[in-house]
Amino acid sequence: MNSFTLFLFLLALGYFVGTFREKKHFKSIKEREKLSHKLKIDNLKKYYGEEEIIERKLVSGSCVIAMDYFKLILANLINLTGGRIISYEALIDRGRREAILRMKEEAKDFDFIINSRIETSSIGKNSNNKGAFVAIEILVYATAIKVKKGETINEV
Amino acid sequence: MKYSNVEPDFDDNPNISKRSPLKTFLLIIAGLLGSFLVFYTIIILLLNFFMPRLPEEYEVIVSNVLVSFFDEEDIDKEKTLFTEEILKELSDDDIKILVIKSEIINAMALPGNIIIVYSALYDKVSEDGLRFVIGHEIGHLVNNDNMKLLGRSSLRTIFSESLFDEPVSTIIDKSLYLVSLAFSRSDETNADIYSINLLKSKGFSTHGAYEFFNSVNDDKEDLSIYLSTHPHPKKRLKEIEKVEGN
Repeated sequence: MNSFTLFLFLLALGYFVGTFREKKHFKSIKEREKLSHKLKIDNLKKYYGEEEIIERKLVSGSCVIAMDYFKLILANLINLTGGRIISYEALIDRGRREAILRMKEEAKDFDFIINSRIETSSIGKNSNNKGAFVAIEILVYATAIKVKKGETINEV
Repeated sequence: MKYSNVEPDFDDNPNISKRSPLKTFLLIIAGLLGSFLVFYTIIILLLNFFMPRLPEEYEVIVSNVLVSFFDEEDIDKEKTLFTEEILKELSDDDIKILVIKSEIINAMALPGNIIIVYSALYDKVSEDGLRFVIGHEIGHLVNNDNMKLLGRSSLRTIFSESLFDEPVSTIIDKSLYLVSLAFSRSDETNADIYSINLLKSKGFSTHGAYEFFNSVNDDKEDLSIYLSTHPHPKKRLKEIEKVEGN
């Protein structure tokens, strides 16, 4: 019965601490997204503005977020019954938005971010021989450009 | 080409489900547990049907194993002879009865038409009470409850210990025990009713039932009564009163 108690303890710990940290993280993300909202970003290969590009730079942002025990167990249960793995959805959304914010931080002196790409990978996969990942890494990379107003369009 | 840089709508994020993870977790657990218990109950019902239909040789094998747990010196021969006389008054079937020296108040029916009575019972009840208990055990034999119980116990062991490791095996074992209780209590009530009807048909007093249950009723009302394989003595008496009323 001890191992069952440990299981329940880890489950409760994962739920309460995991939920608290997730809410805290989302709050921080929302605040920083408001601040960085003015830096425009898209995934087009070219800059279609009228201005001349005077500087460009490869920028990236990455983020690694670990699963909590509750999310892991919930995901395994949903794997049995099918449906949206809601515990992963929030995790991946957090990671993606955090990575974009970090990339924007790197590009704060630039006017526009183009050609942005997002990569996702799992870390620690199969480390427990059960095929479940324990953390995700989100990598966002793009080209940040600085433009000179009044000049004609340039190709990046 | 216009660039649209709208303010993000934080409260309407389509990437995250609105469902509560905890609620989802509890729903899945309840669903899985419910499905498992339904599946388990169906198997029990099938076992209840097939176990009594097993060839008698299997019952003899089981009874030989069970009786081998008692030594020859454990048997109270004098009380065994006395109880055999009571048994003859109630049933013409080939039933073997053994009285075991013990301070525990108990009696049981084993596969292979064997009734075991523990000697402490003789200090608690009169001949009427003993007759009711013997009738009750005959009821178990007639209803083949012992073989059904054997099937249920084996199934529980297979499900809990053979298929799962700790801690799941413990949880499964406790859950399945609760399911089994409903069946064993029903068997006990049916055996009580059988005994009352048997005593009445043979012209004996049913007073022994009241005597027996009053002697074993310790007015215990704690949680353990919900985990007992037998219904509470008060509840059993009520069932008996119903039968007698009819």
